[in-house]
Amino acid sequence: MRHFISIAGCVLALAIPIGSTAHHAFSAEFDKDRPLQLEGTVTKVRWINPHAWIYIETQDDEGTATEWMIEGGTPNALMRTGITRKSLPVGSEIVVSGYQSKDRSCRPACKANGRDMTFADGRKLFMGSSGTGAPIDGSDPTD
Amino acid sequence: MRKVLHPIMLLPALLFTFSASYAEIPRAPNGKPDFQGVWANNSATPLERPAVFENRATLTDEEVAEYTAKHDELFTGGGEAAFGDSVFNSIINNDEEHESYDPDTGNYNHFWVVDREIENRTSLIVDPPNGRLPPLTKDATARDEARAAYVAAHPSDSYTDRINSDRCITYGMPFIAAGYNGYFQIAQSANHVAIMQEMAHETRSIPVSGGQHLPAKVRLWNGDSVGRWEGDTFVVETENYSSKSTFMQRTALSLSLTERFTLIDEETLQWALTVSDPTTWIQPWTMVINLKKSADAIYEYACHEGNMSMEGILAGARAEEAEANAAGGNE
Repeated sequence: MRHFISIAGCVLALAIPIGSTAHHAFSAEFDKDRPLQLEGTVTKVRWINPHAWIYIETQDDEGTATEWMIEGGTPNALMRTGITRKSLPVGSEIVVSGYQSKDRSCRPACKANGRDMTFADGRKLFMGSSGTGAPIDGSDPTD
Repeated sequence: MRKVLHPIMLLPALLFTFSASYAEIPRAPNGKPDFQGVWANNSATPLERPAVFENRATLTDEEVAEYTAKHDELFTGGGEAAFGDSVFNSIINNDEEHESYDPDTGNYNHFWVVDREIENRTSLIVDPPNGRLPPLTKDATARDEARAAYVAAHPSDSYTDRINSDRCITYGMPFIAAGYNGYFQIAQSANHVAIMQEMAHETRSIPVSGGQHLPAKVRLWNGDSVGRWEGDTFVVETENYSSKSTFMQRTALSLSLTERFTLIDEETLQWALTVSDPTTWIQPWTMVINLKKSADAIYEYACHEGNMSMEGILAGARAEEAEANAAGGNE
């Protein structure tokens, strides 16, 4: 038997009221046995549907860089609150808690879901407008 | 005439005649109510009435205030994203934090989805009066069990094993899910009313002159919609769904849908939907969604172009198979 999804579980899933799920169940794509926490630098944001993807680069203790693709939600709701991809500029330092994809081939990059994403200082991404996540480098007098 | 009108299908007309009391209805040049604009479905009201409310259809003002405060406490801090009825259920359960419907891996933060509105209602379903779906037919129960067995054995053998929305083909019509890009744009002329749903950028161009549906052998993903004005209410009958169309994850092949759109105040377009499918439910049922006028734009939902999730799901399934084989599985 290749799969271990119970029939009872599927009947339960069928009984879930409409609209109670996202575009797709993330447990179909990501591995519950591979939780991870990543700290990295944003290199690219793809503001696309059905899910936005945030690309970060991490470095291990030896300085080896790895590119990760972090799956988020539909960007439409954020657009309506005035958030855009510019709200998470390249160079931002973020922390991602999630799970690695079941496919660990890392092509074209390693993948994980962004179950919880914060800036390095602990602020949630996309919450309010007090910070865009851009590096504090003195260029913004309001920092 | 192929369709037999069940007496209960007349209920929406009886239930919502109060709508006519709205005297300042904006009107199109032809004198019909002007529905044009963008309308949002972000209500937190669940489809079915939670058992705790028994036969009570409405909330008190105090309950609305209490639940609104609880909503803000649970969901404005960026915790686990909540979808559909789970928002309301977490609130009335007084959860300390919302748990994902997908607890193994979760999804993403709640900031990806919109805030929901607490109405003073306990269910979208207004008929049956208990606010609950009617029982399924034996045939529908058997189909559910067969499908569950298939999905358990073949969750992702191929892209064809995934549901229409996973495949970015369609989210179905009607799209009744609230809070997940539940936006609609309406344009109208003397002859047609066009309704575009953001999920996934599908438009129905509905003739207002009534008339016959397409021949039964002509089947469409979103069915064939025919409209007519009944006073200030726009009534739409839809049939002829394809064998691949689904509604609430079940076949829509025999679905007959009656929608009634009525402006009940400046900000609210009442959308009453009567669902009739004798192969699935033992009787028709009716729900009411209050669409709220929105100043927001409709955004493109170019699902297929960006659907890297499908690749990830299938690649993940193949990786699991390879691991099982390497571990001495039966393949």
